[in-house]
Amino acid sequence: MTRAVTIIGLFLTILIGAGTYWVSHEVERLEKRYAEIQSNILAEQESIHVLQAEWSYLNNPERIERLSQEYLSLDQIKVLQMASIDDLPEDADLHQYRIDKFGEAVAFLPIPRPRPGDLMYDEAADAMIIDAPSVAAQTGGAQ
Amino acid sequence: MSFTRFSYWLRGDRPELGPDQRERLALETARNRIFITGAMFIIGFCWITYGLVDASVLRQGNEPAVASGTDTRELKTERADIVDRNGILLATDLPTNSLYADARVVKDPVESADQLLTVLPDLDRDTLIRHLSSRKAFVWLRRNLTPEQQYEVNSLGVPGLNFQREERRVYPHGRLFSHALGFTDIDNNGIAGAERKFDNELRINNGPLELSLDTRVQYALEEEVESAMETYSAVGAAGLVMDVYTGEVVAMTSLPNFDPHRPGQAPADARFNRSTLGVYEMGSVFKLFNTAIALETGTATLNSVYDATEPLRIARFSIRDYHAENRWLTVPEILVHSSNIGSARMAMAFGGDNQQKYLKKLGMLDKPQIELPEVGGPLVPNPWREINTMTISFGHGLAVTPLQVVSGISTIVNGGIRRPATILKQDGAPAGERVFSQQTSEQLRRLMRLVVTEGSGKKAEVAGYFLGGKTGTSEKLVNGRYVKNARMSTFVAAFPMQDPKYVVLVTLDEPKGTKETYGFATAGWVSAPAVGKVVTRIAPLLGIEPANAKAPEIEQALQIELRKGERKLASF
Repeated sequence: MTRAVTIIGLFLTILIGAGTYWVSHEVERLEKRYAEIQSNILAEQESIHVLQAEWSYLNNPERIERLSQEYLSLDQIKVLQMASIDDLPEDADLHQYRIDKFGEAVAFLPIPRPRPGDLMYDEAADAMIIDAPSVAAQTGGAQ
Repeated sequence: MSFTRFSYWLRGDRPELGPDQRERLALETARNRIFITGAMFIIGFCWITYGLVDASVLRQGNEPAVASGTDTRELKTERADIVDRNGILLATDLPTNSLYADARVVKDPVESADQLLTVLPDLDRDTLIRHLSSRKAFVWLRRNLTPEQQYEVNSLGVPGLNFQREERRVYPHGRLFSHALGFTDIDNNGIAGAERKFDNELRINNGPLELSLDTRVQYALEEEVESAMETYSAVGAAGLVMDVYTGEVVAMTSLPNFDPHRPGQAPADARFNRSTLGVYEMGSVFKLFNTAIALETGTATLNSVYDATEPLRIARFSIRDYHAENRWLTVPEILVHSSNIGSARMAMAFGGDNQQKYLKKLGMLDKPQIELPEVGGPLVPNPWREINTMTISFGHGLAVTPLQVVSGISTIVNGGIRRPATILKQDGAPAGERVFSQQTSEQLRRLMRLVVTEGSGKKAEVAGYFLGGKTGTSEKLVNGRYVKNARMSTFVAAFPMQDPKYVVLVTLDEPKGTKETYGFATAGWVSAPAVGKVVTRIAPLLGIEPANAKAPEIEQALQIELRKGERKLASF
């Protein structure tokens, strides 16, 4: 029995000793690695910082404008090219035809939306009818 | 005696017993003692094992899931970054290397200097030799080398030359923000603009400093102002865009500008901030303030008429109109025809005290408040005579900065509340001080719109954005005398006029007329089109939708009568 206890004790001592040594060694190794990663992070942060400055430099509006003129066929947006969702006819699909002024069915054509500063729809429509007294002609006409 | 007994007791021996019994007893005692000792060791080992298991295997309740190092280092630059309102980097610190010499180690100063000159040819040879033979432990030779230069110097292998890691302020957008940001000296101390004003905050470096400026708007403004300045051969120009509800300066430019990396190479004129430091007589732009005061004090209504049949003579002065109508004019007509006589009469009606009171409230008589060190105080007449009241009504005799004008116009159009101008990004509208009533503000919006549709500001019109503004042309004061052909041409406009959001100002310093303007260099010809172009470009960026002129709410917001009975839609 004593022998068994001694062997077990010896075994446990060796195990714990080796375990402790291994843990302490591992901690040391991880700490070294940690410091290394820390300094790598710092280096990365620094390059991110430099790249951010470069990104901002590359995003200089003057350069973007030059590049867009060179490679894109886009231009400054015109006022007329902007429309809001409210400008769309609500039930465009429902209208296959409409009744015109003379009570006849004609194909439905959506009326173009007015240019800013232009005449309103009905005035423009009136101006199209030759026989009717033209409001537009009296007020100076469309531009 | 007792000691002997104690020693027996200690050994577990009992001399009174027989030898057999004593032997058995001794063995028993020894076994017991070994057992106790063993048990203690086992307890000790168990304890240590428990501690070990607890520390390495078991999880404590307050232990974080991921280990965090206490010594996590964040990259901290010497000075904080400056960003625009959308987070675009405007100024930052970049690491560089500077060359210094430990002159005690330098062996042959002359030869070392010659070697160094092969790589850095722009250094002065004599100074270099003097530095290298100075026997000092530390002498700067060259600050902020490029990486190639550093490599070349390093490969020379001259003893005594060392590099010092430093940080250098870099402005990725170069000249674009030169006046707003300012610049730093070689040791990274802010010495102009926001860099100086916020020097302490930038040094403490608690995250980037957010300005209210918008890079895209700034570029649009700068480009249009620059092209106007070139077209009309002006000597200088200033431009401002301000949010009328928060007082934020969205763009600010002053031309000519300078490269903030090399401020020393720029002439003093280029470093002069015309938008906040320069004070100018603003001319007819002041008629808006004058009209607002008249409407606010109740000495005039939109239908009041004033005699502008002939020049107004007072003392040895005579006030005349540039576009003389020679008849009685209503308040809207005074603005449309920009009548000096009418404005002066309007000012006489409410008097000099009221004028001073309201101009003071508008901030025209004090230094403007903005977070920049380059701020110019207005030139206020002292004493304030009747003639001053009359001339100030049309913008002569009181010189203010363009920033003050933009602030004042913001106050007029935003419903009458004055808020301090700022270059810092605001979170909502700051507290303001009421100067004009809502009603006065609404009337002025209509009048400003009328100037663009009917008056001198026609060239600024942009379909869909409903600009309203006022031109102002004044002769420049040089050494206390007006110079006839040296003008300041200013156009200030707000848009969209049915619900103003932004104010835009363009001032050209000494513009000359061209063939296209038939030789005119007045604000309506040179500054107004520039403002129109700026608005066309910035309105989509600022999220302002173009509107239809015939929309009933716009008609209602902008309609005005030029003369009673003559109904005029200002929205056309």
